[in-house]
Amino acid sequence: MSVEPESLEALIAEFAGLPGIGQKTARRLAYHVLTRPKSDIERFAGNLTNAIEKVHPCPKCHAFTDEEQCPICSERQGAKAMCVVEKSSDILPFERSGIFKGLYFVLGNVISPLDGIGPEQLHLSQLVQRIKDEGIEELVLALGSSPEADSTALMIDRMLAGSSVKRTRLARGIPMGSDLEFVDEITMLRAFEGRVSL
Amino acid sequence: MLEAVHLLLQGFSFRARDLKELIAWNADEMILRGSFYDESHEWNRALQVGNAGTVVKENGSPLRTASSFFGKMPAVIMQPSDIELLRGAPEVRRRWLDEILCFRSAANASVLRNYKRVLQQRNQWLRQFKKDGNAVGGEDLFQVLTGQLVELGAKLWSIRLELSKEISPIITGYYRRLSGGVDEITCDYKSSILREFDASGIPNEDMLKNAFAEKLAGLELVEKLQGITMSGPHKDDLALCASGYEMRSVGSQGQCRSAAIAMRFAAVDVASRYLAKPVLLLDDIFAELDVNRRDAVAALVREKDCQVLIATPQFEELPFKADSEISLSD
Repeated sequence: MSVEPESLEALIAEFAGLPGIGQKTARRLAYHVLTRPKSDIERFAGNLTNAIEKVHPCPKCHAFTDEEQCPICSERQGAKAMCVVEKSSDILPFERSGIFKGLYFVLGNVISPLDGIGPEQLHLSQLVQRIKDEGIEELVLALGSSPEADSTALMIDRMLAGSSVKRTRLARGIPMGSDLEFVDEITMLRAFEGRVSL
Repeated sequence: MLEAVHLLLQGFSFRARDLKELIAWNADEMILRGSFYDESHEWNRALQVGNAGTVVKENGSPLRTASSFFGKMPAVIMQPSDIELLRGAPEVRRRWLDEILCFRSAANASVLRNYKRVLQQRNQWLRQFKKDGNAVGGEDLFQVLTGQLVELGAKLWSIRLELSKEISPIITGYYRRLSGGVDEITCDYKSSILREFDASGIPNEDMLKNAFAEKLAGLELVEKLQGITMSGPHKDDLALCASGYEMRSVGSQGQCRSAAIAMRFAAVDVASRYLAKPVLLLDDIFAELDVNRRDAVAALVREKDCQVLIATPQFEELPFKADSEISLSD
């Protein structure tokens, strides 16, 4: 016999299905939710439903938006640089820094035959078409450092063979403000490989 | 107990492939906790393995996997089944070499990890192609994965060649002390890509890359029919030879045991030189050795000045006195 009501168990299972949430944290969150005033919980549930109903991927760049087209695609028409990222949330650090004023393209994942994810699932044909149609001059690949991210970057590079678009990728190396003494070997290796002339 | 210490230091078991195999028959989970110290660090580690998943912690902070334990305080295990290093399948020798390679640097470990990952992805592509006549990403993705495999494979090949050259004389040195003989043992890297190199010394990475790319190009049709990557560092082997003869087939039991112990001491040397002095775990290795070899091993263990944990059913037969004794019973 379970001590917890069935509906509470179902709520715990929902929380446990979220990334980075284990069974214990899921239980803590579920119990916390139940101790909140009913109005707070209704607002929370309302926001959840609202987000699901209104937020969708932008048809041009696949970043999440609640408009027909995301504000970046709408406002930066004519930009000649495009940054390719894995997740919608990867756009935020670029925008916060204000360093990049171009367009984005969100892949949603990286290539992995083990997970059945290939170029088709990442809309790579759409990316290539957009580059041609919009006369993109530089494509910045801002993907991770895993072998799968490398496969994805190489695949994009291959699909753009013969095109004049400049392909670049973000530098890898020592984070700002960190002490060299504490930099791990692999980061140091990448930083050394990517050293630049003074 | 040795396995528990090994697992908390190295991040993997020297016996079980899957950590779930370590859970007792009538239990749902396994929890290990251990504290380790050296001159300047202290690590409190915990590992919980159960049906719900694996939880790994170091000094209270969660780690992604148990393999994150690796690379701080190494451990080297010596056990009777080490004779498989000589007699067993190439995989056993590759695993030994790769462990030492990871002792040498974290960059080597990263190359090995990425090579294995790309190999898995390429094998999956080939399996799907064999089954359906087409696979995710088509021919373009296959060429991308092949390019990545060649790049990482050549790096791994080069690292292993350099390492086998470095440890060959170390193994000979230990073997001579253990066998009391003058035999020279060579530890030659046997590549599945190229059998021999005409130039003396280690070929550069570009040469290895070209050789690997050519080999895979030649095998492409067969690989697509078989659904698996058929050549590369994952198929390579080490040839341990004494006086020019491969010990795997002609070595006596005693010679093979001495060579296996010599290989383990070589691992201790590499770990001490590039990482840190390892904890030495001896799992009942003295019972199978004659008196001379037992004394030689005991002398070497003393010389290494490592922390040593010995498991034995017959305490009185140990060739040295322990600082402390732990008795385990059911």
